Amino acid sequence: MGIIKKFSIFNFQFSKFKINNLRSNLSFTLIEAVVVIGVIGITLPALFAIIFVILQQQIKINRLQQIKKEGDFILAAMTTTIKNSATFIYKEEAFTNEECGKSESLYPASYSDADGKKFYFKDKNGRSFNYYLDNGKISSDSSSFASPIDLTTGKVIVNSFQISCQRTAAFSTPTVSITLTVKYNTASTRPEETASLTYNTRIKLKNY
Amino acid sequence: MKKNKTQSFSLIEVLVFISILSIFFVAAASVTVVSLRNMKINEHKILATHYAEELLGWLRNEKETDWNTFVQNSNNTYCFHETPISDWGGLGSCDVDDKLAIIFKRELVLSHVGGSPTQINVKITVSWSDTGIDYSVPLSTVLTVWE
Repeated sequence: MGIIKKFSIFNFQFSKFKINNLRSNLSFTLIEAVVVIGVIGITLPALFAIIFVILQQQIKINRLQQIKKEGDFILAAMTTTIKNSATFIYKEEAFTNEECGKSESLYPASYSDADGKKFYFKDKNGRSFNYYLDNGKISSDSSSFASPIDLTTGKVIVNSFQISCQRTAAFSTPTVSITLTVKYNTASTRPEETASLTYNTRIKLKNY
Repeated sequence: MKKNKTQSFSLIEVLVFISILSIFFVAAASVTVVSLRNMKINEHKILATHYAEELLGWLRNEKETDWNTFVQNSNNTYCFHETPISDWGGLGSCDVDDKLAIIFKRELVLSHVGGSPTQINVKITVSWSDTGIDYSVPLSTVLTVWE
């Protein structure tokens, strides 16, 4: 009787142990699975949120750099050419009526154009050139070019381009003022994805 | 009992594993924080440079328009907290709430030597503060009556 009891206890313990052993070897309990999935569920969104923030910041900087690069370039190119080459200013391509010239009827004289399509320069050799806004791009045209050249790429949009000239007296130096806003070309309106810079300059003509 | 022991991790093993994992996570998090902060600083630097150049361009305007008026405004400190610039900003250093684009402080110091100067020293400083650290973009130049 005692032996049987002992044996049955041993048998019970053995089988219990066996069950334990099998369980831990072959499958997870519900609790274990829930805990693991919970931890993964917290970690992965956090990880992707961090990656998203980094990417967004990178995009913002990239766009700012792009518009600053292109804006600086437009301004530098226009300033150098206008300052060194421009002699006369006209509002039409017939080059008859000079604007901000030596023989205006009234001083101070000024002339302004919203997109530069009615604003022509002529250098002292009689070659003409102009800068104008064309579908969000600044184009540069000249009598010595075969076709207009875009100063900006498709990555940016230029809006509110304004070019004007002023002359205080018949023998004073004419100046040319340029205002433009460079915007990153994107359909998004969220502040993290848009970038825009305004440029403003005034150029004194050297050869007038 | 002996067999059971080999089946599970000991406390030491779990502690070692968790501490290695946490060191890794803390390192990754700090690298991320530092790189994000650097990006933010870079973004602000680009904007600050643009604002400094904007003010310099406007000063050139003023100088080209009328040198004598420009000279009268010299030997002063100004605070320009508006963009686009339309007029001479507030006289004196920037107040606490004279901020440009929320965070930037743009100050201009004009100085010259003598009564009717032919050249004026321009010192533009755009400064901002990020997580308690002050940053600034200085821009200095000389404007002369000739050119």
